[in-house]
Amino acid sequence: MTERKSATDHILSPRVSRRTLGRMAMGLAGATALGGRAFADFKGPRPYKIGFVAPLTGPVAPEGMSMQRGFNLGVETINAAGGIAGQKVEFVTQDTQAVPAVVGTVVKKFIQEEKVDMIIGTITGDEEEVASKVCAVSGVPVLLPEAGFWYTYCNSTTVMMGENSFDLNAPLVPFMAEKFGKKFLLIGSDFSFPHAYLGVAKQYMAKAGVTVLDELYAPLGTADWSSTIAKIKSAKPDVIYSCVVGGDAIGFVKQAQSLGLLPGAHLTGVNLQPEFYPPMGDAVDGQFACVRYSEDIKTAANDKFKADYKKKYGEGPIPLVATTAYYSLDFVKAAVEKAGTYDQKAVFNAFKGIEAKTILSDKPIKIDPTTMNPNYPMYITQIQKGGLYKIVKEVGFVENDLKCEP
Amino acid sequence: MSGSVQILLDFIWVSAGLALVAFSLGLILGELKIVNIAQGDLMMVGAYSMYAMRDLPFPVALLATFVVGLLLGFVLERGVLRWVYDKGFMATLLATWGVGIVLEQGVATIFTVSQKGIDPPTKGLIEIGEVVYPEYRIAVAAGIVVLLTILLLLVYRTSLGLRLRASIDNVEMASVLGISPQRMFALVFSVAAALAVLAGALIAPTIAINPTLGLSFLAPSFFAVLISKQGSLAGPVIGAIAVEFTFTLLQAYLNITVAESILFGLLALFIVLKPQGISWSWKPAREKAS
Repeated sequence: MTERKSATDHILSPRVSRRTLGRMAMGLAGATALGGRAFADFKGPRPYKIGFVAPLTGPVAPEGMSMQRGFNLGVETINAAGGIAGQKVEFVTQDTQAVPAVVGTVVKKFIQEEKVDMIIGTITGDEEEVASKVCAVSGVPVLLPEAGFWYTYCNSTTVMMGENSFDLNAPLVPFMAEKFGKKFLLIGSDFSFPHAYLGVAKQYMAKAGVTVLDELYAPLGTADWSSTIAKIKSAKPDVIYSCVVGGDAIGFVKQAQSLGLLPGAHLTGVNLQPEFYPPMGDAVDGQFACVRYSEDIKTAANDKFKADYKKKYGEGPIPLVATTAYYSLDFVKAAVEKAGTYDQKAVFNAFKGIEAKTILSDKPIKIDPTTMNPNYPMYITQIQKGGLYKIVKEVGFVENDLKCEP
Repeated sequence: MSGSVQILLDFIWVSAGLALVAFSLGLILGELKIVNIAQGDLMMVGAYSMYAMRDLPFPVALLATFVVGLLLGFVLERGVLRWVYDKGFMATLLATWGVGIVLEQGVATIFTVSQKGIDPPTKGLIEIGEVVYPEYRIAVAAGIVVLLTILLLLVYRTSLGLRLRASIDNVEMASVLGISPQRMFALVFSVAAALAVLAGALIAPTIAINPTLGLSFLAPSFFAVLISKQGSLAGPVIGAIAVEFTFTLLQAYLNITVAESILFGLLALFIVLKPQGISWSWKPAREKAS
């Protein structure tokens, strides 16, 4: 895997002359001064209003509620620190039930009646697509916090805030192959995301010389995993690479444990989301996962976030989508203040290449101006007893191959 | 060889749970003549009840959960269903659907919608040939077999069972003979609800507990009932075994998604071709001829 060159690498290229470097430094200083003054001087005309849409009932309600928790805490935090452009952040919320038609109705209502400045939310790919298209027509920026996508929208309003399928797979496949062996068995829930996620994974498996022994899919809501587990046992893979999601992920792990497959086997993939740890319990202790966020990230901002989150919502691993929703507001603040206006087109354009300091790192995270997706530093973690995803390898930024939505 | 043993054990485990739910559904359909859409949600209540009492010893929690099921069934029958019996099939269907939604939302409000899980009382494994299998699953399957045997003996070998079957065959005639339909309805629904709650409680340690967990059990249970002759109480049990046997065979060779599609396609076809269902009771050829 190759890491992207940073801006500093280009600036210090030997082909850049000392004079040019001097001009660049002066220009940079000037821009920073202007930008800094613009950021500081811009006072919003009124509270900045966000429409938050999430499936708070229905099959993906756990993820929707996690996102809502992170978002609510993010708003509280940013308002306590002075808000956006010196104004408080206000928001309206409505449940989408994970039904795309409802998403469309709610987003239109927020834009037309509530006059929101921006939309944040949605969980499933179907919801994201509707929200993205409605916002594109209306010219309203929309931030999608959920992870795992394998394409980007390439329109004039959508920012994909989660980590993509390339981020999740590129570091994990070679790590697992090197550590445990090159015979993988793939398993997933039977809908578009797991197929696409495992499709991306297979690209890296081919590069790493991995043999895929079998690919097993089960419909969402599968209650009994016995036959699948029997097939896995007989295949004897070195690694079980899983994209079983939601409640099924827990059911699969619990049954794999009771049928003696776990803890002996090496299970990895998005099956191991931190929010599922409490019900999965010790079945996954010691397994490895690739994540964008870990409670093990040692920054002052993360310490504060962890303390605030657990004080407000109780102990237990913090869901990944809650973290994204939380720090998405850092990017919103940076973009609005950089734009120096609430104008929606200007705010969206300000997202391109913007950097914001978040709980993820002491260094700012940048939004790629082409894919409109943050360049995340990724981590390989090992799950500890009690649910801490301990960082065992810092991977850094991952090259991706995000293409426009088909 | 070990693969066959594993498949056989899995088949016994799943069909035991399915048989218990199908029996409870058949009891309600036979006696009350209503399709209880909320049966899966009653299973879900059982799972949450075990989660709520996870700090109690498992048998105590199980017993308390069964009592919760009895009470819940009684309240639902007396508080909701008895008002819609005479309003027709659609009214009872919608009423049970509504009950299911209320149960789901009630549980989501109390426990939130995040996934829950509980541990089985034992994590021990038993060696059967080359296969190791969880003690818990074997104990539960055996327990359900014993329970269903007792229930079927009650139905077919006791005076209470006789009154129940008389009421199922002809409720008006039975009431003339002094069998109170109201009492029988309340008793049957309470017991059937408690059995569904018990089924949910027993499978809870092996699944993710969430408000919609009952949905995946509903379709196969209904098919188990529908392929049997209406009013038969042993029929749904045998129907459950037949459904699960077919599903197990299909799953052995196909992905679950494909296996499920074929299974439900076959069952739908079966119901179209034989809408009266199968009478599973064996009769000698001479008796059939007469």
